[in-house]
Amino acid sequence: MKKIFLALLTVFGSLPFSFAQENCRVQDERPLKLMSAELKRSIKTFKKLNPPVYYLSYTYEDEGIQKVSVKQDAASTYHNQHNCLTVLARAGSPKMDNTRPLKGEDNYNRTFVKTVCGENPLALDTTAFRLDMWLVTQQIAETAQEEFSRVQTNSRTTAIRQDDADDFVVPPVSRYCHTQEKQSYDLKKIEQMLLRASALARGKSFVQNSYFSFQVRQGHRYFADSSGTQIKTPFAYARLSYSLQNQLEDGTGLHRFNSYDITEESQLPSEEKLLADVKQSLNELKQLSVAPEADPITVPAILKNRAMAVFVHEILGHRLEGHRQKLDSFGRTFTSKVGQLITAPFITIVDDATLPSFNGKPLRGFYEYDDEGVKVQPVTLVENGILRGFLMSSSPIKGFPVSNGHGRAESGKFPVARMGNTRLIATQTVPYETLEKQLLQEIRSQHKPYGYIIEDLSGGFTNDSTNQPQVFKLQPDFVYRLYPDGRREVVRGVDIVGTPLVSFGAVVAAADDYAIFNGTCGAESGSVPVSGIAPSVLLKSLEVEKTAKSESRPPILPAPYALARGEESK
Amino acid sequence: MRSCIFFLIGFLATGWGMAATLPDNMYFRAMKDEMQRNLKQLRLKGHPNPYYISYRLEHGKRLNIAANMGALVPAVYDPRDKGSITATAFVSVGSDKQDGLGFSDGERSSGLPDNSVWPSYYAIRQGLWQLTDEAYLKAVDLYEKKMAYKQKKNIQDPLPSVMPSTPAQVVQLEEPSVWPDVERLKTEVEQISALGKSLPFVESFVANLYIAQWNIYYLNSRGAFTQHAYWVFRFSIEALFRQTDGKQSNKSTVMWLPDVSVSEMARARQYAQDFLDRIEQAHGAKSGTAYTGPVLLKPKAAARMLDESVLKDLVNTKPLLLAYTDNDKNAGKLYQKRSVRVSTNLLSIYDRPLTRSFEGIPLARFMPVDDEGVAAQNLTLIANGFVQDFPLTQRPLNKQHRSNGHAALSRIYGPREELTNVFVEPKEQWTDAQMEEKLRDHCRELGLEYGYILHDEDPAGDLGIERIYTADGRKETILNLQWDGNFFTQRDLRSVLAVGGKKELVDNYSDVVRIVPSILLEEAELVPQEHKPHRQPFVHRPR
Repeated sequence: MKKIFLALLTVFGSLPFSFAQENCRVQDERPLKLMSAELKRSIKTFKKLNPPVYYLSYTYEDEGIQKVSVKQDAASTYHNQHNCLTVLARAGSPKMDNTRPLKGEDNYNRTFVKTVCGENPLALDTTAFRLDMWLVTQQIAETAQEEFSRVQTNSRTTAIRQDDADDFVVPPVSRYCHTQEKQSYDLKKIEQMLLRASALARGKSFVQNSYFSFQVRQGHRYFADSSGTQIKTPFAYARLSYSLQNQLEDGTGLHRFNSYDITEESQLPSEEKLLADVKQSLNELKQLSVAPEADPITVPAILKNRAMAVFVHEILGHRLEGHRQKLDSFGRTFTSKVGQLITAPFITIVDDATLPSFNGKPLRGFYEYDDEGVKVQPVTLVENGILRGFLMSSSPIKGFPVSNGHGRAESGKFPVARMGNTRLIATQTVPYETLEKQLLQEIRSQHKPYGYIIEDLSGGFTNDSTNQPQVFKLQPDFVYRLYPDGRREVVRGVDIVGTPLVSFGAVVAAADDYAIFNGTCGAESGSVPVSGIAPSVLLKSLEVEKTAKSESRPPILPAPYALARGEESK
Repeated sequence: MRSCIFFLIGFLATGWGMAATLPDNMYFRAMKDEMQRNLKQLRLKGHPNPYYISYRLEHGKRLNIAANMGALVPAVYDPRDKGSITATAFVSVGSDKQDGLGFSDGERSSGLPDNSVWPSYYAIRQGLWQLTDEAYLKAVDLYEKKMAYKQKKNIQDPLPSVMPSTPAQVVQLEEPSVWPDVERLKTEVEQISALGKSLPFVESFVANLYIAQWNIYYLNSRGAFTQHAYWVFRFSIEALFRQTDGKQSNKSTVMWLPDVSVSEMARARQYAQDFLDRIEQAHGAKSGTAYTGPVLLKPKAAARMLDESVLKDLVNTKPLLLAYTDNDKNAGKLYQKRSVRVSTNLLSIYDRPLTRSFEGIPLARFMPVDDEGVAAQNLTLIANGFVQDFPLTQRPLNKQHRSNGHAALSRIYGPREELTNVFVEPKEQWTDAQMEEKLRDHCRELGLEYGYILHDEDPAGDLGIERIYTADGRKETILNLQWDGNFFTQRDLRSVLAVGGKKELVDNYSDVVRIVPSILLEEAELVPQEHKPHRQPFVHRPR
């Protein structure tokens, strides 16, 4: 079963470059010079091989990581400075090459790129760097040839492809250089703030575990290919986050999570703000710990803004990733629906990774060039409810022959089409209070016992394989029942389930309260930073079911920290 | 760096009466408070209560520096980080007379809880709380299954489950140590790895320095406790190189250091250069053909032979009661052979948990008190070929049974009999040159043109197999030859012709540390290795 996961709770936050612009010269950048020289030396020979290795690209990332984490009264730190070189080789020709998915085989474990990592980029030893490049290039070129043979055989021994688009369109040559100073953070001060925040969980019987952290990842990415492209761009992700967990006697896991994505230290929440938020989260966890368990039901519901942003990402976004449309094993829910109405006509959806921020808040899905060296472009996916296009990498599909700069990958992975900043724009909106009134009307008119307000989603998955139903399942963190008399009640143990076409067709109204989620999305090209922007929406109906519970019982005795009194550690 | 202040606090048999002498630090405070709470309150209605709990904390501060061909590669551990603690909790239910120990219903290691905790009072307690809970539920489950199994099989065991020994209370505090100069070490490791650039057929040459300081804290509910520390200094090389026919070989080698002073790092550099020389000799060396005859096992190869032929039969002395096989195949087979001759009389084997170092190198299995809180004893396992003694725990083998402090806590099976620092001592002190001379003499007697010297534990030797000519003692590396696939047996141990006088520390980071000399075996089989040449690189290595 193929699943695409969105892990909102994982890692870092976002980002940065409100004034992204060229401010250096590619010819002055040593990694680019070394990579281009090795590419030039290799590609001449490689193109003459049988089968030819016709395209190579090098991606070099230098990255520094600093992390402070707090559990109970303990603080831990992590420091790492490293650089990684990823080499991609294509054998055959753009028409058919080694990267073509094999029918009837496991494509997830195939190798198209190879990575080698080092430390301390400033002291980069030229000979060592050249040796690494050479060795890895030889290895991945050999693998590319072997994979191409498999592709040739597979194409002859399996059914013809429904979309016979080429496997690759060589990206246009680009040269771009953008460098950025490293931001510094007072980690000691942040550690003390996290310890004080963690102390709020002390003595709380409904908190089994808590975790507070601050992490910064920053550095530069260098890209060069055998066509002559040379690009240097910066990246920086900083996030302060916390999670609070509890487990009930019946095995239900409960948790609250919060995060603050920033680009510089001055944007950190004040200690007062952080402590207030932690108290609020503790209060919510306490409510959840005594809340009744949800029952399966289909009722009208509001997906609050952040939850809706996740919903769009998960339910629609992944199904609009271009390369999937030509996979015969992919459900292709929307492949043939270009030009057709797929949701309410007041809804437009754009993926705009050129946006560094929204309403003054950083977006971690921002980038300048994708991981195939293509300048990113805003893409209108849905316009007034009508499907207009797909997110494209350099793997073309019928009717969409070129990349729009969405070929993305985690370091060491093969890029495929992925989202950046996925933004839902509603052209007809109402204030949120009005949306709740509309929900009440829906509940009453449908004679339902209650409706749902989904505050937050922690993640989920969607099946997109033809041999599985095209269903999704999302895990809300915090959910209210709204009764016809306007009363609210927190419930626990809720999962949202559904199918994409029905779910998007159920949107009937939207509010004007746009909000951002910043997260990390996991798929076949690894974990990439993404953002979503959406207002709250009213769904005519939403199906919920019981969430899975752990079969383990919670510990017999209460957590020591939950029994602790006073302020001092022993 | 490793000078120690010893406090032997003595031996008390009183439970919590020892509290006055328990070291006053965060680790013991957390262990004691959580242990007392669990003993008093941890209950599952209708099931037996915990009657015994032990905790062990291993707090490691680690650093590793690695470089390939002159450039640093990412460090796994950073000395600025506070490190984490590996925690172990063991719980018994029932009583000494009858508990769930020594029984398994087939449970394997999957699903073991995370046992990494952070260094603070509450974080340690939080970790111990969860581990104790899991251990208690498991103990209850095993206890009840064991009772049912014994009833089903009508097993009447006259011995109690545990015969407690005197709880040991030993604290060996180390003077605070200063961490080495990381920048100097980075430069040195970088330079050592750059040696690999000198040979055009070497494609990767990774030097890796690993340094760790481990602090051990142990406490059990019988009143035993211990605290001690040790350092690990490990230097290794891993090389990828190409033979003349294009075949790629990946080989590694490890040395253990007493410290990382300038002079020791110079020794590491020489070690790396020697390894590189062996690679150079191997490049273009000829392939070997089948051979049966005497072989000289250098210490690493000898350690493998000893593992397979005898050491594996000296552990797990008391068989487990296994519901799924009725027969513990991993139990040591030598228990029934006390005073029986099992090996050549040219060597003796000792287990020395109380030995802190060998040639200045701190030993990782130094252990004043075992995982049942019993004072560890040095043992003579095999003396001049005859079995003398075994590692024992508090699980009795007979009515006269007494533990000798050799329990190691397995997260799956509880405390079991294990070895620590195994020393193999020769009867006579032959030098390396004399050992080679003896090999040639024996080859001469058999009319062989040459014999073989095996250097590595790895049976497939692209570097580790050396031919020595009978006539003139000339040596050459031989490729594509490997030891025959059969494991060594006790019979091999009785066909030893000579044992060298120079011992080497073979592995200082596994369950059993071995300090072993070279061994000359009367006969071993070497067979050609399947050989797959490879094409040369598409583009030549950059200069």
